[in-house]
Amino acid sequence: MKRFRERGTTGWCEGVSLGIENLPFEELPEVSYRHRLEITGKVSRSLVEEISRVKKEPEWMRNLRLRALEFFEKARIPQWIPFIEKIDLDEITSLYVKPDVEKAEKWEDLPEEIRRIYEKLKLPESYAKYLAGLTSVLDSESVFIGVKDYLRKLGVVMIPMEEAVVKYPDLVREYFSRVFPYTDHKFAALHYALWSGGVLVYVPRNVKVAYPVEAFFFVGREMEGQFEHSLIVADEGSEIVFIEGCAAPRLMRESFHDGMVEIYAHKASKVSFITVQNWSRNIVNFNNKRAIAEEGATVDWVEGSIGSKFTVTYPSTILRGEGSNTTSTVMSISRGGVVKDTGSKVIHAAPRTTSRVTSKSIVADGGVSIYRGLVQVNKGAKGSASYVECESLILDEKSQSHTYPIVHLLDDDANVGHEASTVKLDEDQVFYLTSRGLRRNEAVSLIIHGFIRDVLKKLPFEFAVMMTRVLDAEFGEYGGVG
Amino acid sequence: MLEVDNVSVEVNGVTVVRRVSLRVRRGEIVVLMGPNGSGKTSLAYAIMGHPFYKVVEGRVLLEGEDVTKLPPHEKARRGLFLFFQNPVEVRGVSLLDLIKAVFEAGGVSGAGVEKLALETADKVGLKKTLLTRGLNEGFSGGEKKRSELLQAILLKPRCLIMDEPDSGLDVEGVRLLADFIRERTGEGACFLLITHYPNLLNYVTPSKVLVLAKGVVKAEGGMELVEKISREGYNGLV
Amino acid sequence: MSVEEGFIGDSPTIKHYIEPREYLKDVEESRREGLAGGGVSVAGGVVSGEAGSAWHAPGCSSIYCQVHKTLDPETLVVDAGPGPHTRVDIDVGEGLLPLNLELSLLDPSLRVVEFNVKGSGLLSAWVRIRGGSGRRLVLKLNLPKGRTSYIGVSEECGGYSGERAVILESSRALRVEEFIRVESSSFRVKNIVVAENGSKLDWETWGTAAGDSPLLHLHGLAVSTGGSTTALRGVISIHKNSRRGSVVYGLDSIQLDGRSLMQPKLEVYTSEVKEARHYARNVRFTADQLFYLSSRGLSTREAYFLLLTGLAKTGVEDPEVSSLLEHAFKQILLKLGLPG
Repeated sequence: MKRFRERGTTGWCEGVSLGIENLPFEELPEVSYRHRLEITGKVSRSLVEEISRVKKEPEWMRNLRLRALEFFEKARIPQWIPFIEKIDLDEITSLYVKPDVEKAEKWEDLPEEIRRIYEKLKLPESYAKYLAGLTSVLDSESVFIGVKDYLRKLGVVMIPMEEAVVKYPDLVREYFSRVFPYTDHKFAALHYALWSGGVLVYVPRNVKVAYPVEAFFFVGREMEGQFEHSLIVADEGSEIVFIEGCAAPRLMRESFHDGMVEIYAHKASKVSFITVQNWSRNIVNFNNKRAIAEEGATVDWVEGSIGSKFTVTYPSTILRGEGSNTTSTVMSISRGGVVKDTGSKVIHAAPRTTSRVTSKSIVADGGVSIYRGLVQVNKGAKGSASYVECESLILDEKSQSHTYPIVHLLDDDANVGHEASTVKLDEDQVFYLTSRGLRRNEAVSLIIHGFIRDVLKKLPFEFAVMMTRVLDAEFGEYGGVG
Repeated sequence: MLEVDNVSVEVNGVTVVRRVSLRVRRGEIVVLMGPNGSGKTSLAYAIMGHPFYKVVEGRVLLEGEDVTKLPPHEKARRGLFLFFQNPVEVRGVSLLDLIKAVFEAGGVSGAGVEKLALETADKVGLKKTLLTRGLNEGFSGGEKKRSELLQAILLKPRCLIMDEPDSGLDVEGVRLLADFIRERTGEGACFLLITHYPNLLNYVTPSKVLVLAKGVVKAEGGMELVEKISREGYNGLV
Repeated sequence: MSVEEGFIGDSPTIKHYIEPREYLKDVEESRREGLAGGGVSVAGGVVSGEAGSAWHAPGCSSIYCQVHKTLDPETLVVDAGPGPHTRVDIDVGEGLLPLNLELSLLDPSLRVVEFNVKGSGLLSAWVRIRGGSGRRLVLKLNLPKGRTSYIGVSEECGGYSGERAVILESSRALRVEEFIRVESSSFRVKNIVVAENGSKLDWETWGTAAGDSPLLHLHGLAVSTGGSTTALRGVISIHKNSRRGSVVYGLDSIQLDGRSLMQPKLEVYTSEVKEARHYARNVRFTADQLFYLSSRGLSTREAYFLLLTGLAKTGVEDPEVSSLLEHAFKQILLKLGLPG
């Protein structure tokens, strides 16, 4: 295990400049139909301190929480969030919920009700069959952590984040909140004040982990907030695939998810981060994800976003090292009064970096899909190339699809293209397929599958199957209505 | 007349063609064959003057003039034409734009070019709409070849290097190509024909056939070489 | 409501745009100095005095527009024609010249309106374009070095088709706001902007396509040179009740030596669309492309010209407008001394 130098800093952000430009969040002009996100209620300082105390955190972490809390209280709601969702923090009674469960390393050790939920979600099966590691977060704490010997032998570290803070303080301090500072926006700050749960994965030099590891998040109760923080550090030349799964039962009232993923991909490493999100319909989901890629490193983001009421997620990568590259493949479904505000941000901060973003969204029944993308080529990032492709399929007149690309070219030696189109269901295609004997809903299903085929290809098989099933269930009857 | 005199070509510091010599006289067809990666296209590019394909040894002469160091457009103005195997796409510039620009650069008025181009498009079986679209953008393989042929007809070059002009063309297209070659050789043009398949050679007769492999001329002969290759492939020769 | 409160500004982190507060300061300074502009004169058009109806600027919510209203601008109504060329000489002097210009195009013949701006003072102008069916307009503007200036352009297109091209050269910081509303008609726009001499050009568009089979195709081409920054941005929306709308919002940028910012936003409120797409690309010519053109006999310079003028013509339907733009753009390229 690599020894980490103690950085001679007291604050989290002093001394080290990661050269990250403040990612510019575009301010949208005031338009009448748009509302704003409201967070009412208070997060008490004592709650934050209590969380820190229960977790037995070192002082620097507690200070970080408190500073983040201060920032959260002062910061404005980001102007770019267009829809009102009222999140009353007082009403969200459980910003921190410690489930009454002892952490288990074997499925059998979990209490029965919990184990049954997971079995329904097929987690034990997945773990046994094809994962190298699995951590399961229930409410605000990790309840299951399974790390197969395979990982242990490779020297890969996979432990709940709280344990990492205590066991590997140097490692955590070096990376925690450095990729995504709390000052970035109000919800990042809220996250840092209340974070709980999540996992640290460290892959040693030149270790290539052949099987994926997974973190699974389950929100068990309504009016709950989940703020897990995952940190993945891939040392030079290493490779890892990380899957993040999210689910919640059908709850009656809102819950709020404000998680964060920080990835640091060292030289020549490769990290793939796959999220399959199937939150229930009353979750307001903020997913802060960012990666820094060093020389020759690769970061791949894949996201399948099915559920939630309101999702905001922009996987971002800062290409800091020469020759690094990133891809982002996002697929989102907005059915009904669901808003998906997704996108990707890429900052080319070094020469010969490349990025490729593919975004596909399907909206129906009054759903709203928003794609927000930023591609920025900093001065000096010569010979960089970026291609962004977004396609949106609107199935009816009630729904909306908006694309807001931002292309900033601060160096003139870059090859950059962004193309997007919004299409509707092609009745000619439907006619052709039905004339071959398919029922209308079968034809529509086929067309939708064709639409997202590229994205499905990137998901692990089980997830691709699940996504397909969900799509069929959600849109199958789209054909039926005349 | 095109003379390639002991030419060696380097790409990125790697030698891809080594001491190749050939000569194509007026009215002559010389065929260059060889397996993939043998250096045929590299040689063609180097003769035409692509900046990445450097002639590091030897000379290229056009009608007796040493044109080795000249930039491509100067060679084109002296009558050299490269019929690309895979012509690049140029967004925003249409075939018509290009022809007009070339005529104007040569001091010929662009008026009347459009009419001529349309007539020629008909002759080569190229849809008129492709004349005004971005050059080669979304063109099928066959359309790209016809577009090259149209240019070859309009620009009236005296010495043509054709890099696999027949691949992707249907029978009709190949016949058109053959007619064009025959007509122009009759008028004294010279052709260096690079081909992978002996297809086109059912219609035109070369005076010489060279086989290139790994950047070096491995065999020389006539049509009997072509027949041998049709039967046995390149085994035994390379 | 104070100007500050009503201010819909840019994200403060994007320092490459024009800073509205600095513009405000400039306006204040110009006012204080009390220098009036030199005046406006028109050649090749008929000036019909004050506008009959009250000046109406749709969508005027930005700080630039609100300030313009407070400057009490002179209104000029110009009927372009009968000849194809109209010249508007604007002498800003060293002071401040606020101006409302209502431009009428009386028939479908092609009109070229050239704005010849002199002086280094601050220009704050609104240009409102009105016309009939099938109208075609090419606007040429050239702004020399001077104070940060503002130009608002608005067009309404109901029931007929039209095509408009703008070719704008600027050596000063310039904010342009463009408003286009297309209702059951077709409208094509081509905006070519060339920012020179370390200037900043911020062009923002608000476009709407509504009604039955509306067509709004907006293509922009930004050339930044001499260390300038061009920002082409805006939002085009397809109205909820529109049917069979076709919207293309495409931006190309050429960085000869400068920065390029592009944000073509697209909002689609209905599934009854025929076509809705946008793109933002920067243009780099590859060695293979240059080789291809060169192998046909074009020198490097001629090849660049061809490629660049090709971009100037992208999105332009009308052949007369196309060749006019090509010619005008070529002149600009020659002046800039292309690589070659």
